[in-house]
Amino acid sequence: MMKNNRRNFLKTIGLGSGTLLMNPLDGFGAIDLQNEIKPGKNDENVYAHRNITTDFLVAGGGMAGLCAALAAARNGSKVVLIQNRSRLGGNASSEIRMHISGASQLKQVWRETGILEELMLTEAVINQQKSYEMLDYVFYDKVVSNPNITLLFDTMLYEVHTNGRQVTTIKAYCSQTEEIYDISAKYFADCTGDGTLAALAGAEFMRGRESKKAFGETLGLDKPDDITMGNSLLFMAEEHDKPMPFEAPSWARKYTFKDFQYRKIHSFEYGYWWIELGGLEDIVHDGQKIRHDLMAVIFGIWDYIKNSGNHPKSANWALSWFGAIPGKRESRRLTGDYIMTQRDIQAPKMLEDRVAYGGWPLDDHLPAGMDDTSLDPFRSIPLKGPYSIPLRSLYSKSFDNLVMAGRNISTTHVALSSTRVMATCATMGQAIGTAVAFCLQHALHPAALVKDKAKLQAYQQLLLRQDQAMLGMKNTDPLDLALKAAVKASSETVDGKAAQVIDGINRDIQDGSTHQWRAEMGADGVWIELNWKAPQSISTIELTFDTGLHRFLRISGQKSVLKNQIRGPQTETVSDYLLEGFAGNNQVFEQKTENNYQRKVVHTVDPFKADRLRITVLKTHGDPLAKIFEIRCYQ
Amino acid sequence: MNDLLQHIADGKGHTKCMLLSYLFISVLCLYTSNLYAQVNRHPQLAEYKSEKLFLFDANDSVQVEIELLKNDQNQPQLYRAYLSTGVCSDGLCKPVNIQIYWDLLGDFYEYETAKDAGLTKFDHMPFTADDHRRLHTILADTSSLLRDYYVEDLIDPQVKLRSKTIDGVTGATNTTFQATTVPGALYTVYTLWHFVNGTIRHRLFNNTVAMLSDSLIKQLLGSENGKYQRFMIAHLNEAQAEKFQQALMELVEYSKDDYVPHFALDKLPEATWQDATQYNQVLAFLPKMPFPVQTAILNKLTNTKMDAKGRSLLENHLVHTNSDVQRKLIKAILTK
Repeated sequence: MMKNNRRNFLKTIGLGSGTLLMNPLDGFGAIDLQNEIKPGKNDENVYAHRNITTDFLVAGGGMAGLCAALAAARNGSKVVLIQNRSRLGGNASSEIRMHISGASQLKQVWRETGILEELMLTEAVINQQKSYEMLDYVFYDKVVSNPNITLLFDTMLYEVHTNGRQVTTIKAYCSQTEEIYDISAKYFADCTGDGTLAALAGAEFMRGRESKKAFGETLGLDKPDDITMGNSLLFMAEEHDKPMPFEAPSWARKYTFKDFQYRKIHSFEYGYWWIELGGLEDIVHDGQKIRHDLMAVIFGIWDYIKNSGNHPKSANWALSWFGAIPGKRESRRLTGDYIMTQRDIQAPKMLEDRVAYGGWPLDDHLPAGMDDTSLDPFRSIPLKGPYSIPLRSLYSKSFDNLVMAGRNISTTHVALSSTRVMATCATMGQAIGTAVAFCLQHALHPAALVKDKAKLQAYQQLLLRQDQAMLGMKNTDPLDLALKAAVKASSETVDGKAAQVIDGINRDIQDGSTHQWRAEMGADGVWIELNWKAPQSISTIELTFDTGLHRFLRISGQKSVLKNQIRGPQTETVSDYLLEGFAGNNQVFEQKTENNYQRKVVHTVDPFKADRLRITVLKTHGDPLAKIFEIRCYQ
Repeated sequence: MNDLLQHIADGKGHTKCMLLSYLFISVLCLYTSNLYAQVNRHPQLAEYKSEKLFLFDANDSVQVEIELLKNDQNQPQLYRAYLSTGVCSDGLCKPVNIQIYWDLLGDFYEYETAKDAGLTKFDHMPFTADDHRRLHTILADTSSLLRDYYVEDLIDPQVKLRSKTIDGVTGATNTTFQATTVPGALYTVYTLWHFVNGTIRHRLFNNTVAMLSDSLIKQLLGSENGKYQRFMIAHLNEAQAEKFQQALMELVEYSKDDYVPHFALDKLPEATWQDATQYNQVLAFLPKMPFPVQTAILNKLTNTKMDAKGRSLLENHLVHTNSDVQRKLIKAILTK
């Protein structure tokens, strides 16, 4: 009987009927099925029903959803974050282990800031052992430490209810806990990657590859098709002190020397992004087959490495991990009020509603992947610089309260080949999380926010204050007391004038200025001071430090990727410093901080009145210069 | 970049250039050339005979004549065209007079320019030897960024160059893209790249495919050029593979390309591995072959009942190889 109930449950949600999660209501259509699922005596108490009401439902706990949830919660919204796995990070998590790539690839100065930077800096310090599970832990810790977030793991979205242009409720279930959740919210974020929530709601979306004509893209196709980039599985391996034999399963694919003419095996410890398949299949619905095919590829490649004789150095190497959840590159793209195209990536403009940025190349992969090793697996077109992502690409044109972040935003296939990477997705997440909190506070929806110039600017200023990765933004926050202060310092370098801490720009933007105060560290430290003509009431002091944004900072299983990174506090960052407030000559406030490694630090303190705020840098993490990008003060 | 910036100065002009391209189809025999790109130079280039093939529209107003060059044995060697046009932007124009060569697959091979009417950069400064080397590299890069960007996108709108000689101002190349062009000659390089690597490539490639005769197949299989070898192997049908079995076996034995021996092996008729004369010819070279080729050959022999000579060649290899994989394969073959 229990078995039967279970089957009925699966049918109810669409799993048993073979329709999977896409259209569970189909399961209710057939009369025989309706009879079959009529609740029996014992059914009702098996799955517990939970009704949850919240401000903001975020579906998907990858880098986009994670940052969206954190951003909204930190700005005061109640958030429910549902994740269909029991780990956060999605493609970055220990379950998939893809690189968190983004604008660092420009090899300029453009590593993303904001929540992502906070996460990466934290991870670099506490996870010097480079354990992927500890990356998951960093994400988990940030989420569960925020009381505004309810995190539901192993929770599968299967139904969405709407009313006019509003999404009203989603249904999800957790098989581990035998619970069904009915979650009502004011806003919904589709950070599923596949755009499942929006598709279930009936929102407009795009799929496949557009023609050149459709959006005037030279990289478009002559004729549109429904092909996508493929999925990937990765593996990791370790070297032992004795030969480690390997026998491939019968279903492993067979490879020979010539299969690797475009796919070089440089090292054995982690790989390979080109273990890719599925672009020619239905990337979502054929996922079970694609996963198995990818496993057959992984074990086939490892068999080749170990047993072809062509890689004799692999003798002592053995597999230590392989992925079982394919990392997806592309599926649905939800249509917003703005569709980003090739031009937005290659010849970017300062879009008025810019809220995030990207900088990964236009990196399209050949859909055949490992099914055709005679072809180069990708074509990557580098960019001259970062490009902005507008808020209009981050909300659905079909629903007023549906936002999105991740690979499923409003772009063409060509633009997606750049926007799809995780550091970029994370910045989108922060943008929509903050937008939702802002909209809730101002009784606006995102489309109206874009149209209200004053509100849009206020929202962008909020993002900038919270260190969001944005282009061409300057601090003009009228509430920032620091902007009204005179600045002086114990010393400064020629290219690091003290006044630059209030020049409104909080990072190197490649305009020839450092935009930071710099001073040679002395034995007793160096100081910088904000002076006001009249005493100011201060309760928040915000500092932005240097964390070497020109470098890569991301966990990797690959030695060469870690090579020029700093796994620990970044050298440029101020470690120990003293905050002091003075009223005249009287010290009215003092706080000492040690072992800081963050870029953006917010000190919320008991209010004090002072006409002078001094920051004394006592120690850096190795840099001979004290460096501060920005100081902000608030009442 | 610094070279360019020093030209930002006064600049009263005396020449007005039309934003029109113009054309001369040259009389090649009168053309005096000055070769800069010596790397690929065919030793007997001067002795090649030319044969007119077709006219090709280089752009809306410029047409070029494509020629096929042959050596004294009448073997196709290169394609050639003479391009004479003007490249203009923002009212600043530069003449382009250049003879371009492609190989038989339609890939850029080299170019020649006239000594006194060659390529110029900003303000009519002639190309230096370095500029020519750079241009050669750029034109040979089929996946250059020039392919996927509009020329305007390669310009930095922040930096303007003022001409000394012409009443005009033009943009400077964005720093990111400087490696993809010759400083001060972006429009020229861009125009040339798109001509050299545009649809003409496919026309030339298709022309070669259409020309494929037994003698050309033999010539390409037997060339020293790994690209030609790969192309030819891929284009052989089954009957041709049988006909050119000897040439394929020679590629297995001699090709310097890492992958060609493997492609040739896969193209060889199955019968090769049942014919002692044939497989023994290959096995005689076994000790000199790269390891992966050796292994691939042994894998081809797993269903062969070896003759005495073959057995002895394999036994000899068994002694010398230090690979378990190969030892296992050889033992399996020898027990057949």
